[in-house]
Amino acid sequence: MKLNIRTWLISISVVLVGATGCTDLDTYPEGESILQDQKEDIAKASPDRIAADLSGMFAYLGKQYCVFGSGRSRDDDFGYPAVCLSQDMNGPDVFSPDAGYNWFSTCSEYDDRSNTYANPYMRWSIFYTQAKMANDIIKSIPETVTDKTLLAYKGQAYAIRAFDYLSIAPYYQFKYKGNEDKPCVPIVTEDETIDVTNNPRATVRAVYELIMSDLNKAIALLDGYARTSKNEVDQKVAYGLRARANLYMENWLEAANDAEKALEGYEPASRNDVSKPAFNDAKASNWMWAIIISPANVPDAYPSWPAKISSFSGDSYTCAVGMYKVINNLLFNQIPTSDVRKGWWVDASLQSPNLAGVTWTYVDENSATVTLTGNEIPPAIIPDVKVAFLPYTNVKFAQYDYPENATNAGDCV
Amino acid sequence: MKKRFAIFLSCLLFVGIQFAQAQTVRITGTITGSEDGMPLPGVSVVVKGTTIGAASDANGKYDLSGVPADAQTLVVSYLGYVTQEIGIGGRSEINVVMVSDSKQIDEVIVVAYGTSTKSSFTGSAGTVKTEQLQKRQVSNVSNALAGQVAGVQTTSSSGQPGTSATIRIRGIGSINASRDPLYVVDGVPFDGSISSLNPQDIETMTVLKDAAANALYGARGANGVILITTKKGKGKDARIVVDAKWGNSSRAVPNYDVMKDPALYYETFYKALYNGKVYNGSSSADAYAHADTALFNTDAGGLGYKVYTVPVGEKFIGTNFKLNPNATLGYSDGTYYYTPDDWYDELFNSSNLRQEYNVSISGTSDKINYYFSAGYLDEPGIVSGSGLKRYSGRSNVDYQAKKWLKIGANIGYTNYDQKAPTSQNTWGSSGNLFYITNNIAPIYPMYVRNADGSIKKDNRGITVYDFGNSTNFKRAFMALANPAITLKLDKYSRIYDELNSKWYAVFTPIDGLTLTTNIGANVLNRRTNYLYNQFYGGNVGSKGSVYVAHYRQMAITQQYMANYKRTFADIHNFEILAAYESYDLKMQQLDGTNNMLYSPFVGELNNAVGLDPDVNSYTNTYAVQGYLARIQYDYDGKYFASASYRRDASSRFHSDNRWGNFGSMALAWLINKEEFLKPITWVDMLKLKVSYGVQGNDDLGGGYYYYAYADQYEPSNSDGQFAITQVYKGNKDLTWETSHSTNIGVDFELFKSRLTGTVEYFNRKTKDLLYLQPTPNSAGFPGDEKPMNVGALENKGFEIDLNGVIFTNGKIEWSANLNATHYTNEITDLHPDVKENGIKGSSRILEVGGSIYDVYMRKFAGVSETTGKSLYYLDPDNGDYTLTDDYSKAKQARLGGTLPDVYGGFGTQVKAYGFDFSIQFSYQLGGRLYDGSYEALMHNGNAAGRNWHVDIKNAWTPENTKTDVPRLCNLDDSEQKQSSRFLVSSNYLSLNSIVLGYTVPENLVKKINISSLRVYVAGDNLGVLSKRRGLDPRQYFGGGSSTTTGNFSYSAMKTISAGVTLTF
Repeated sequence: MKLNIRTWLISISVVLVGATGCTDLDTYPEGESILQDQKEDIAKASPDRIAADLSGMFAYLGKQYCVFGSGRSRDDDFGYPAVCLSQDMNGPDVFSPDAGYNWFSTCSEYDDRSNTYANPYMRWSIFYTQAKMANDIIKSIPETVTDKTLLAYKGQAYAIRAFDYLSIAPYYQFKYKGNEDKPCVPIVTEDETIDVTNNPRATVRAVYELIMSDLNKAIALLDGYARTSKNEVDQKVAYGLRARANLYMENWLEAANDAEKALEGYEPASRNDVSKPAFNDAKASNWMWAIIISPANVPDAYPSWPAKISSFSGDSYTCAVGMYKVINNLLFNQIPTSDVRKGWWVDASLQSPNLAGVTWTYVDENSATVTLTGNEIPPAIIPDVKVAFLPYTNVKFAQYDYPENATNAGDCV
Repeated sequence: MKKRFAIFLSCLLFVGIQFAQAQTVRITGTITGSEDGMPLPGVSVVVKGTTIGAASDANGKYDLSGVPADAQTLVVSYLGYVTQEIGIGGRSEINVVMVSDSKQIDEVIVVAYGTSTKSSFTGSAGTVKTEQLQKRQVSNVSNALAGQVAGVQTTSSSGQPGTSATIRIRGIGSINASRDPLYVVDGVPFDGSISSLNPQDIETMTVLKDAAANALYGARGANGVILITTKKGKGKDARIVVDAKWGNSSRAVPNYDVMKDPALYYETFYKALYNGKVYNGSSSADAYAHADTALFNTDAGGLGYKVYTVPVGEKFIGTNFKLNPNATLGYSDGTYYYTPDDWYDELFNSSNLRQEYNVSISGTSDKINYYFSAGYLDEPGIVSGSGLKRYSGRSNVDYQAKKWLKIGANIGYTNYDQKAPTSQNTWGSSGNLFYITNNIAPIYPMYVRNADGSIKKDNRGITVYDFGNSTNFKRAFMALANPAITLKLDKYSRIYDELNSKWYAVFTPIDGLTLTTNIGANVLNRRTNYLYNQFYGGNVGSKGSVYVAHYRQMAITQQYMANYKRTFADIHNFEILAAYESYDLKMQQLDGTNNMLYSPFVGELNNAVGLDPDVNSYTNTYAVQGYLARIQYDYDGKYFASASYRRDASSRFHSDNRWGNFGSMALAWLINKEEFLKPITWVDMLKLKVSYGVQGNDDLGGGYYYYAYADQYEPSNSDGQFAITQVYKGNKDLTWETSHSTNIGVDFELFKSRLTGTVEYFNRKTKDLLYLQPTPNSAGFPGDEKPMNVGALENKGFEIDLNGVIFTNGKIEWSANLNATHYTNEITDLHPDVKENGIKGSSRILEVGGSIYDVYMRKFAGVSETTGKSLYYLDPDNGDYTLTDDYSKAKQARLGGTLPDVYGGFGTQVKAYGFDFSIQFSYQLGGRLYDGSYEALMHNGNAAGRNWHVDIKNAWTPENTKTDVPRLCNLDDSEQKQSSRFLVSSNYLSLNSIVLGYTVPENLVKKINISSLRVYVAGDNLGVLSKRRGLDPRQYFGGGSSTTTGNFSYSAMKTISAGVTLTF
């Protein structure tokens, strides 16, 4: 009996020790993501993080894998620049060869009209996702708020929502004039009563009414707001967006007026500024609004606009396989030689005056250091890095620290 | 050991009953075992109907004296062997060969939280024993399940050494949540890598299939449970087993029948170029001119390479579409010499040595049971830089510390280095050797050759491979890549340290009550180093790059169990179990990449000086806890009932919704114990069993899904500011997916247990599916989906498992086994938004009434006899069978389910005169698969430089109009044009293993103090028969698409080894 009592005691104490080491079911991610309630706690501890939602809305447009996620890691999933490139490839002015590494051939071949393709999915999804972020910000700042900063945040959210609808409306119906009552795209606002699963396409008129109303609100709310980064929207950017909306609606006079207000205080780029590979730095005097893409935002080299558009990347299929983005020679031939833009492409014999100050250094297979200068660059072959440019290859765009840099970061207008 | 123990027993039994009697005779003889022909000591020989008996001695001899002269029959029995009745027939010497009865040894089976006996078990389970496992040469034991257990469906998507098979038990249990079974090793849930378990250490793998068997694993048992039990000591004497084998691995599944003749390729391609013109209105002369100039010009859609020398001024290919008869293979342009290489032979035909050594020492004493083992495996892969090297050690010891206390620990430590080059399973990757060898045209060289024909070396001494741009020619296919050399120069290493341990104490304070504490601690550390070389390939520009990662996983299981067993009035047997269990899993990742490697050969971050390193680290935690109880009752070993209940909570769900209730009920009736069955002597065992139960599934996946209920955000840096974006849309209401299983089955043993088997019907309904509801893109949710519990699935079918001894005469035993499973998978409910029209993808459809593997593609209508173009039905789903040759106009159509009607395995074993032979197959019938690789290889000539399947010879021409292969025409787009044309049968017959062994007679080896010596040769994964040579349907369950199914993954490996097993 004594034995049994002792055994019981030991048994029970072991169980109790175990039970005190009991499992905590409230687990949290550390590092991979932040849960909603963690986010709220963080905001209490560090109030400056509230602005992060606003920055996040802007950063989204330049985020790698923003649509399909890193799990699917598509090399064409790099945000707004991919949308712009797709639209260019739909047109007759830009083309690119396809040796299996051209992620935008669906656009050149108009396969992007088919809804089972990733490309049109991406170009649709990205704007509605950003509009949702704008809606969330609008919803979180009630009418009663008087704080100037918060109201400016709200103004920016309205402007972004207008930007999003402006970016899709023209692609799903013919132009505004004459088609006002035809179906365009579904409207989703901060209004929680909208059933997103049963939300038919709104008319062109309704979409533009929303765009205009949002921009009018934005312009009012952003009065006097001084932004901290060019990735934000200030009143001038909002005017610029309204100028675009008016253009689309063929309100020519209003468009001109808005454009003038938008441009106030900006100095256009000089001939000198654009007589070399450029268009990668938001600090340029002529840049009004930008997606800021720093090296930290480009952990992977290939899903980035420089990897697809720049002819100077040290690590891209564009250069290595020759998927250069090339101008249509019919258009190129129409550009007068006096026009500074003619130098943005090499000519038929692979020359461009814009390359004068460019040097590209590499180590060849015999371990010798080779430096290419100016017009030596286009025809040069650097094994596994670049093949010769094609006639009419663009030398307009360059990533940060071009040429040769393999990070493929660069801001985007 | 067993034999000696039995001698002791038999002495006790029979001493004292050998009285001399009048009118008697004497019968003597020798008793031997059928496996090895060795004398069997301790066998009981009894005269039927009397108490007269004897036991055989150490030499297998028995001596029965005092046998009544009129005695008719001897009953010869021995534990673990089939009891025999032998007619005496006046003989005085009767030799008997005993046949082992594996069924009797297997009476005890491993079940959830304990063991059961075969006759009293009310659930459904299938067991793979160590003998079966040892016939397979698999580094990952999950691959040994193929064809072994009814209801278990396996696929192996990759032959890379160390890769796990994908296991589905009784159908496909979910749409979006996990469909994998739960692995439990020695009672502890296991999330480590199966490769860390040395198959030689495994005693049994038991697959729990129905709710009665696995409902106690409520939280995670919905897709079945695989219990792995490691070995223990047996017998008083230490038993030392040494096993060594040496062999060779090679590619088990070949390429498709692709063109090998460069001339034929050029001719066919030339014709496609020519046709591209004439079919589109050009004159024949223009078409020839175009084909002549375009053939070698990649910018004009040509091939780039010229590998024949043609006399000056003569045409390469004549107007008869034949290569110039004066052409000779090999061409020099003064700088380089070009001649095609056989990529397949160059890449896959290297010989290698597979080695495996295992030693174990095990035994028991009064208080200790021990099993120690050590193993070494070196399994090279079939491509450069791939393979597995594994060192494993295990110590399973328990000790009876007090009468009321037993303590023990099972500890396994494994260190292994898995070299697995990336991309070897990636469709379309220029780094994937398996993809490339099928697809590259037979005209392209692999090496760069100097003008004199010798293979070029660079000044580092590295052989120069042709990257498609390394010479004066440009390769049309796969520009800028040559994985043959990059795989040699790059390094892919993953070193694992895994410690899998269980520590336990068992208290028995009063008779019948056991209190058990189990602590499972499994640690996995994995260090990954990838080095991308800077000499050749995609990382020249970045001057080499490196990826280094450390991953740590720690799983702690705590189980506190009380079990009480009692019998009332001799016939009411009760057993009650109550327990608490918790499981905590912590996963921690730290990784970094950088480029600019100072030393080209060192894959570490400090050797990388690039300015933008990318460094990540994160931790995820997952926890479940639950309370469980089970009651088992049987009435006189005849009627059985059991019920279980489990309440579990998962950290994946919000605290308001995280608890789920699971359980089961089961009944069984051992009919052979009934009086009315007693006269039917050929029935040894007959059991009817019925069960119903509910199990849970919480596993939507890793990453964000560990907190599936919550909205989640990711911070980033935007122009120096904090930025945050939502990355996951959660759902607070999310809770358990539940599966409701019914099982009705019959277990039987007939004809003196020579035929044993099980027939079962199962029905598994999964409800409240954890489902990622597609949300309209316009809702703006990240990923355009939201998790919810909606929809239902049903898997139902039949299984049969038969084992039989076909022939036995004591010296020869021939047995066979067969299992077959038929099931149907049906979606029975979906979210209201998609219920009406289903969820349509580019190749599949999920809809109510259909299966998870229903294909949704255009319906191919053959080839137009007049134009030679592919024809499609316009819209068959809406009854429009109009033909069109415009692919984009044709609508996708429902092409039905593709899961097989029946799958399973069969095999046979023969044991005779010391030899043992076994052969095992697995098979599948009635399913379909999309052959995406074949589709690519049947292009119309629009994919310059891609090889053709030889079937292209049957392409339509004006003379060959009755064909299902469309015309050759390089302007016809055939790229990824999915249709029913490429949906083929997935039937297969796979030869999984052949083993031939010989056990040297004991009297020969005894002299050198060895108790047993067996030599053997074993062939593993020897081949597969399928619809098309090169297609391996074992890689997929069904369905598929242009880019997800076909022949482009790391091929299965065929291994042939010879070995020796020594037992001391």
